[in-house]
Parts: sequence; structure tokens; C-alpha cells
Amino acid sequence: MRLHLKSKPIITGLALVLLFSSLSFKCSGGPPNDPNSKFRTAAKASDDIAQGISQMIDLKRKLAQQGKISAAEESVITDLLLKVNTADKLFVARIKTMTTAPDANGKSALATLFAEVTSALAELNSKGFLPLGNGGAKSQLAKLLALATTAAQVIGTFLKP
Amino acid sequence: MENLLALLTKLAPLAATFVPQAGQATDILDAVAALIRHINAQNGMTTDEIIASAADTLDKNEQKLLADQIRLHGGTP
Repeated sequence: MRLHLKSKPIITGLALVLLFSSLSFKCSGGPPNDPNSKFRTAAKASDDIAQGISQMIDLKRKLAQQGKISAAEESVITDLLLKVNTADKLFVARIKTMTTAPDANGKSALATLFAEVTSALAELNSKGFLPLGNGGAKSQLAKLLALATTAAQVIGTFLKP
Repeated sequence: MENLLALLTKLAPLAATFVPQAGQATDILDAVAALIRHINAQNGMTTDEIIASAADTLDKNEQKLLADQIRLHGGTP
């Protein structure tokens, strides 16, 4: 099978997502005396999303400095990143207040907050990244978003009743 | 894994010199390497420490994004 040039970024992106997912699961174990291990999966994934946002901020600044995205495009991405960040902050704040493993109601409350995070990630893709004029910039930012979305899917599994 | 990442991050800038558009690979590789280092660092942390790390990163992100809004909107975030 011959690989077309256009399919290479997609394959790279998929490989990165696979790598990230496998690492996320591999590193799920914590210290044996971890008192709040029942929240570990959700905590790790929300931390991964936070780190993904941080990397996207640095990358979009770099792309703007290189003239690969316009000020208007950077402005839209900045607003949307802030929306994702705020949603993840609320989710983390809710986990912080929990002292026991979440029951069905607790999981439902977390799921509602987390739906805001996934919705903001989808909006970042559709309104921030997809309209970008520079294909290279779009591809790079989309790869980081794919990693953050993979982390989001890990939380989604944890929140299933 | 750490060795492979170290090797890739060292080779990427070199490739950027010879291969057109390889500079983009350097940027994305740096970002992915940072993410993987972060995931590995979570290994020895308790859940409370991970939550504290997430809260800290999110606060820093907010500061950076508000600063960017001020820069881009000329003083009105």
C-alpha cells in the first residue's frame, strides 16, 4: 500500500493519539498509600487536558510569531482555549470537594460539568482550528487537540454509571 | 521511551536544517514530548498532588490566556 502525502499527517496524528492513550493507561497506578485513588483516573485526565491546553497556548503563540496564523485567528483560538480552560477548572474544583467515591448522583454531577469540557473542546476544533488558513498550523494544533480529546475520553469512561 | 524521546527531540532540529517543513515537526515533537514527560511524572504522585498540579496548570493557563487577550484586543480582555 502506498501512502499519499496528504495521509501522512493523519497517520502521525493517529499514532500520537495511540501513544498518548497507552501511556495514560500504563501510568494509572499511583503510590500504594494514595488516599484518594478512586478519583485518580479523573484527576489524571483533567491534569492531562490542562497540560494539553498549556501546550496549545505555547504553540499558537509560536505560530502567531511566525506569521502562520493571523491576529484575528489567534484571537478566536485564545477565547476558545479560555473557555476549555474555565470548564476544566470547574471540573477540577468539583473533584477537589469530593471526599468519598462518587455515587450515581455524584457521577451525574461530574458528567454534567465534564460535558462542558468536551463541548468546549469540540467548539475549539470547529470554530478555532478548522477555519485556519494555514494547513500546517491547522495540522499541528489539531494534533495537540486530539491528545487532549483522548484524555477527555478517559474521563468519559470513568464517569459511565 | 525516555531515551527515544530524547533522541527524537535532539534529531528534530537537525532535520529542520535539511528537510523543508521539518521545522513544523520540531514544534509538535517538543509539545508531545512535554506532554509525555508530564504523564510519566504523574506516576509517583498521589491523586491529591495530581489535582493540585491540574489546578496550578489551569491557573497559569488562565493568566497566559488573559495576557494574550489583552495583547490581541488592545487592553480589553
